[in-house]
Amino acid sequence: MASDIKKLLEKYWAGETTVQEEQLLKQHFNESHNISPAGQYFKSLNEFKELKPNLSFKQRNYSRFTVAASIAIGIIVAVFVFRDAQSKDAFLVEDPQEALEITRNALMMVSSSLNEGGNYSLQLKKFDDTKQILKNKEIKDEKID
Amino acid sequence: MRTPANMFNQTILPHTDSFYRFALSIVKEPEVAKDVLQDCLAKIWKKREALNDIDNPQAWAFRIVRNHSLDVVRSSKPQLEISETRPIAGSDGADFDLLYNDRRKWLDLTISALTEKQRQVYMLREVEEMSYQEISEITELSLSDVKVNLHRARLSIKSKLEKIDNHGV
Repeated sequence: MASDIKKLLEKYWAGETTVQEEQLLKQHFNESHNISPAGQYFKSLNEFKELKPNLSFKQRNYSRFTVAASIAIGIIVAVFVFRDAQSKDAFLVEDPQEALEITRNALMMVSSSLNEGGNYSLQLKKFDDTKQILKNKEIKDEKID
Repeated sequence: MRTPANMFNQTILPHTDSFYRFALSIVKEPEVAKDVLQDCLAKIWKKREALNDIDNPQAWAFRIVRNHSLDVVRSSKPQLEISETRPIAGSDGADFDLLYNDRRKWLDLTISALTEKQRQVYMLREVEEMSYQEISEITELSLSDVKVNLHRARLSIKSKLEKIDNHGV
């Protein structure tokens, strides 16, 4: 048996063994108490096969940091927006020139709207006049009859 | 015909440990190897429709793992040549101590000292117990190149073991 293993070992180092013969060698050294370097080598090959990734289909490491960073940025932005909104009156204008300009624009806007309304009232007056003419004509016709 | 999801579960998932070991032998960092594995499984899942048409899905998946691992090494460590060899331990005495105190670490270092081609062929043969034909498909090396690289890898390991043997056992 020992000589068979020795021959097989020579064949192995020469690169002439089959997969089955190599399995036989690994099995032999795994089961024996051989402490030669070759014996240790084949034992380590068997140990190498036990190497596993321990996958728990992990989230990538950076994803945790990304989430934490996103939350932190969100909080900081929210705090700044809140403080900004509290400290400022949205309608407060401190420059008198700017206030005048804004008021003027507002009045112009109201005025143009009123003008538009004036156009409509003109049209309505024409309509009323026509209606009155027709009514008068109708009364006149009734009197003739 | 099996559904693509069944094909994935039956032909790919049972080999995830092997894919991991193979990726680890190339990228050398366990965390990076896990990322490579995860990326490759996602990539294979996306292509699962093709699994029914592939003769050897396992070899095909190994090739994806190999190519992705090499891409990761190239992009993350441009300063290192892929074929670079690293010396193991410091002296024969250190080799001796390591082999008898932490065999796995000794083997890790010994494998790291092989050339990239030798390391890939060695891992697929010695750890995953693949045929020369399968190794040739995965590594895209000819059959004779596979045999030559395996032989050289074994000779390199044998010479280290002989030095340890001469040191005192």
